[in-house]
Amino acid sequence: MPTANEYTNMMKSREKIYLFLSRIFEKELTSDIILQLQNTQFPSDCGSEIDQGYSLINKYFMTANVDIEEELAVDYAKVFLAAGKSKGKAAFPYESVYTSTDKMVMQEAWEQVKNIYAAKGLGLKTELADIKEDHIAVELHYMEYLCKEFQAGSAGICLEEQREFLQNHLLNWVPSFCEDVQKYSDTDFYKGAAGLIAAILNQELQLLEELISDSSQDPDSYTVDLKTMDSIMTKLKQEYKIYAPKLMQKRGSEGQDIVRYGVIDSISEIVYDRKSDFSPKEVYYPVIQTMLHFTDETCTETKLKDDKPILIFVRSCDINAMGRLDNIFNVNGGHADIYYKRMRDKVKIVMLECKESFKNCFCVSMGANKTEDYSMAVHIGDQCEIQVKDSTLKSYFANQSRCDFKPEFVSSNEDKAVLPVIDDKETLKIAAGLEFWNKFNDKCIACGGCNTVCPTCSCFDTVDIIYDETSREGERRRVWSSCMLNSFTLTAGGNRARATNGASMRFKTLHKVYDYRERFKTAGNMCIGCGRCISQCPEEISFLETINEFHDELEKAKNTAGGQ
Amino acid sequence: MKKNVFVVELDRCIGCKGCQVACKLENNLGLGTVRNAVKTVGPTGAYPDIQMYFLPSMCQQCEKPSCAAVCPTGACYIDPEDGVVLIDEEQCIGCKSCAEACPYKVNTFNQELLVMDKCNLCISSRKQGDKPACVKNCSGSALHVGDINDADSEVSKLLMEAGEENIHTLRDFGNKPSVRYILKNDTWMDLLPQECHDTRRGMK
Repeated sequence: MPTANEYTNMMKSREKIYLFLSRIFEKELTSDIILQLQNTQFPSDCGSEIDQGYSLINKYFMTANVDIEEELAVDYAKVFLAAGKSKGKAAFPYESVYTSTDKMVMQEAWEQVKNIYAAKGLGLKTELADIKEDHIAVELHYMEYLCKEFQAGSAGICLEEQREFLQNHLLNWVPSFCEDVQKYSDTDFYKGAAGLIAAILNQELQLLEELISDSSQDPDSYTVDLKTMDSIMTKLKQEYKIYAPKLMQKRGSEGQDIVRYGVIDSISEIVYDRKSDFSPKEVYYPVIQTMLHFTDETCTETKLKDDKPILIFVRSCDINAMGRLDNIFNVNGGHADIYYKRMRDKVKIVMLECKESFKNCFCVSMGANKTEDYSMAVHIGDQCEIQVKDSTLKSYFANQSRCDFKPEFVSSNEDKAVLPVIDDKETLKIAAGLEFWNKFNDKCIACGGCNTVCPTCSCFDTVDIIYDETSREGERRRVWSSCMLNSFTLTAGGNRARATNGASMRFKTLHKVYDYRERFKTAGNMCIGCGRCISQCPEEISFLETINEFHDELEKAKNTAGGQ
Repeated sequence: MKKNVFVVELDRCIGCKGCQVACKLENNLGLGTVRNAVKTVGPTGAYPDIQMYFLPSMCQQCEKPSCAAVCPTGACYIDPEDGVVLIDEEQCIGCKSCAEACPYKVNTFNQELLVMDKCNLCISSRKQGDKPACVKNCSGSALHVGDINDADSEVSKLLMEAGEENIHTLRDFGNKPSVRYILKNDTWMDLLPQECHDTRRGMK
């Protein structure tokens, strides 16, 4: 299996190959590039088909004795732009042309790749009118982007993504495109390039499949004493920023000690025997994020100040919560939220084994007690027992003694939630109209504390900050917001869509145990049953009881409605 | 435990608002943001027995601050080092829950940064061993700052001298306000800052 370094180097050279191929097909070659190519010593031991491609290109440059730039430009125009006397005998470099029944541009395949780019926050920017999103140069360029992304972020997903794109959007048409190029091209250069790209893409698929099967190999488990663990942490710290639940002394609302996520140096800083008061979301979805800076004339999008990847120690419920937030930010609406994504992509998950539940936990009822989505799992006791799935992380434990540790999960909580059953619009109407919600009008004080500690609450407000009251410079930020605040649904003119605290509570409850599930058609609800909101509430409103009472009230109301 | 607070000699306050101006300059506060409004109590009584005094009303550095209790993000907290109630700008979401909760309405909203803002006893000056801007600029030397839990501090001595009967705090709602007001020449009126007049010089 390749080491972290080898991985990075491999991705770097793949990135360059894709850039090279992309450029060949993007537009006519300029004299600079031709000169570079003429002076390039192409490799000759890459497998017969690739070698053949290189040698054809080489042969072209060795034997050509006319104006190369002009000859290639003429051939480019003829083959790819169908200019001059090609009479339809051309290789149109668009996926749509090869995959649609009518052989037209901007068909289904074009839509698909456009959505794929958009989900990454990417858009096409070119001055060339002929370049569309499914142009071969753009698709190759996207592969280059994925290689780059791999170096910055989490390995497993990116490789899978690369393979998928390669299989579904390059290998499905490029081979026949290349055959056409070889048929219609007059120069050995483009014939060679076509052979080369077809061969490289095939080899790429093999490579990716090998890498993926490598990285999904069986996890390895180790036993490590705490001192050694700390020295491993020191090594990890050079590559990663490590976050974990740690004790914040006297930072509670009454000066008590609380547990919150922060950067740690030593494994002993992790608070393991207590649930954190705030959720880990503040690490990858910070309270305040600056999106852009503006002056009178300009507007600049922010870049991440620190692109170091993150290791975060979280329990299974919070890992499930991360999945919920990923859905909300990156899937909803078909566009990924780049400000969320750029942080989230840096995160590698270390699961804290959680076998016993704490006060107010009801994760089992919400199906969030288990997960397989982690790079590493750890049990902290007198020594650490560790299971490592991620191949790059495995290298840090090379010399440690093996064991057969497998993380266990909570299988039962003291508290249980009975979820309301809402099958149709009629029932939803009954649920929304329950008298039950009004009891929160006085009980809830609308402080929003339940939202800020919740690992799945995602609402934010955008605000424009000016640096000085007389300046024209400032920044646009997004700041956590809470649906329980009185100002949340306030609009211009003073109207409040949800006018009472009871209405806010109804909204929140339905959102957590119905809306999300309905929207994404998943089995899991938005609420993952960590119970943090229950501990946080200054008015001692239990969200668990709220869910259960809501269920009972709804059943009662359903029966009455059915009986009438 | 250390508790840094203001001790105000009301008998020396002439309502010049020097503290207010100094604070705004020192902390670069924008329009409408005031951390220590000087209020006027009175005139009360019937002629000829009338009285009036000024009440500088800043954060009361409560022992059990209601602002910190309601803060949903934990941005508002008591500094464990010196007992000063602080707001972490990086965590404040500007929900104004603390403004709602404060019984004295002495925290203020920063209109530029859109976060809550309150007196922090000029934290950056104090870190350099200096006094808060308002104390330095008080023309009547009415404002003092120090650790009231340290019997040897300047403020503790001042309080000692003043005598128990002349020391007042704002009305306690269970939050235990810590700022001490010394008033000898007039009768203490139990008014909250928001119930008093704003101090205006010249024409009313």
